[in-house]
Amino acid sequence: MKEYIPRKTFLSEYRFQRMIEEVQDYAIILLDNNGNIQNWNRGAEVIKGYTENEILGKNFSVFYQQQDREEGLPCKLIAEARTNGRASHEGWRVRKDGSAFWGNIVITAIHDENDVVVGFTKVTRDLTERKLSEEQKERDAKSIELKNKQLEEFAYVTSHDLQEPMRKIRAFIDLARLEIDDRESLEFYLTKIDSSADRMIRLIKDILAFSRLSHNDSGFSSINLNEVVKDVLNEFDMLILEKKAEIEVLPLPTIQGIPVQIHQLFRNLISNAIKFNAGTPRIVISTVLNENEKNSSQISPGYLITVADNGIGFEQKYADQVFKPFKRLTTAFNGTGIGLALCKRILETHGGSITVQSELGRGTTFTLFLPVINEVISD
Amino acid sequence: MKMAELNLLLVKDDPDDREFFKIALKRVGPTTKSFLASNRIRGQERLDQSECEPNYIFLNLYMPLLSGKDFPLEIRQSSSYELIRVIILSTSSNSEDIKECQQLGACLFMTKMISVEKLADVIVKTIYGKNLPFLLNYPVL
Repeated sequence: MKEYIPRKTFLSEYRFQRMIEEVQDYAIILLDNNGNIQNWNRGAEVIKGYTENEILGKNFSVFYQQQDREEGLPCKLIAEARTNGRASHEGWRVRKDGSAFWGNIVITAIHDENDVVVGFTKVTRDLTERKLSEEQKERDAKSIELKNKQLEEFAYVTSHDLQEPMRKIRAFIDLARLEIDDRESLEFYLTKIDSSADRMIRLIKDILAFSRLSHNDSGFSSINLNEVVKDVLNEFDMLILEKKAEIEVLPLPTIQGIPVQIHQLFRNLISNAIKFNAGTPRIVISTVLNENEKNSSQISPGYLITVADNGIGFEQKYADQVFKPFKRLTTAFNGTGIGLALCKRILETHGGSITVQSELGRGTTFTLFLPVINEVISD
Repeated sequence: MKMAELNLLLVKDDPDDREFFKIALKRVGPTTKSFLASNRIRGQERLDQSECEPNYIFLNLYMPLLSGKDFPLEIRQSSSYELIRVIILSTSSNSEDIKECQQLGACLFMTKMISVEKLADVIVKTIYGKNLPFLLNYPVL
């Protein structure tokens, strides 16, 4: 005789089914002993992308990434649930369309009256948003830490280098007081005080320019480098005349960049090339389109631009010191020591880099790498 | 030690700095003999010259290219220079720097002064003073 199922049980079972089916925020599914999917709910469809028809009978390992499947993660979880009653996990999973989501998963073993495992329930929650914001927070924290460190270093070096001209001013004032009746000495000391004050102002200006670089508010636009160099050479026309400098400019490319910064870049390089020269400066600015991987550290195509001079040069072993803020290799020529640090920062902002080849007494060549930027980048 | 036997080697990159020191030396005594070098390499060259033979070396800590920090260590590698007293000057009163200089063989650490009279005073102290502390004269700036 067939067992009579009271209406009450039927209703409660029905309600139970509806309860699970309509939940949207959690995927609640039933797996058989081998992990094959027995039923589906709305949440499962929302989170994983499959409809009931598409997924019934398939194994739950299709939700796992290739690597996880190869390493046997789904099997491990089922085995854990079988042994311990439940297994939980958080990790990247795969949707029907191949996209990834961060799932929080609990697999619970279902037992019959004899305590034998007959299947599993799997409850999954999509925590992608939380995961992404956590990762972003980590990145932000690291970036803040780095910036703080840079700031500390910079503040230390800045205060030290600004103190130097200040100290001189006071020392000369002291000397002037001692020899106040000596008109000639007085004139001498006053000139010295003036030039120290001037140096401080130049240092402060350069420091400001350097620190402003970290705030990249301006946008990228098309820049014709030939025009930039022409403008810079115009700015230095008096100096060029004075030093009888010969400057050759070969055709340069048009690049994507921040105009003010690119101008500053060439201004610094060209002024250095003219200044740090004990004789007649001869400077050549040219370009090489770098599309192949000659330089193993470059993966992207870009432009290699060189600025070569016949100036005082320096020993190649000091090559990377040259780009440190305030690091000067000689005090024989007037400089604040920030120019090249500025150039390096500017190139880094544009995704590029700068290197230098030099020989003491034989001249220096700076090589700039500017990657080709196809879309306008915003920070 | 008689004043006349005083031989100094100054290793300072900044020309104003050198001038200032020379003026202070004039106040110390007219018979001090001083040799100038604008960097460590020149300094080493001077040292090796036979007529130099300084009793004292005054050098800057922060200089372009090579700092003065391990100069004492370097020169003491040669036994003929073991007894030379090396005094390091700096605007920095950073305790790390001071400690390092002491460890690397400097005899005294002098923070740079703005008064030429004070500087002359301190120079005299380094030459004639007994039981001097390693760090001379805190910064006035």
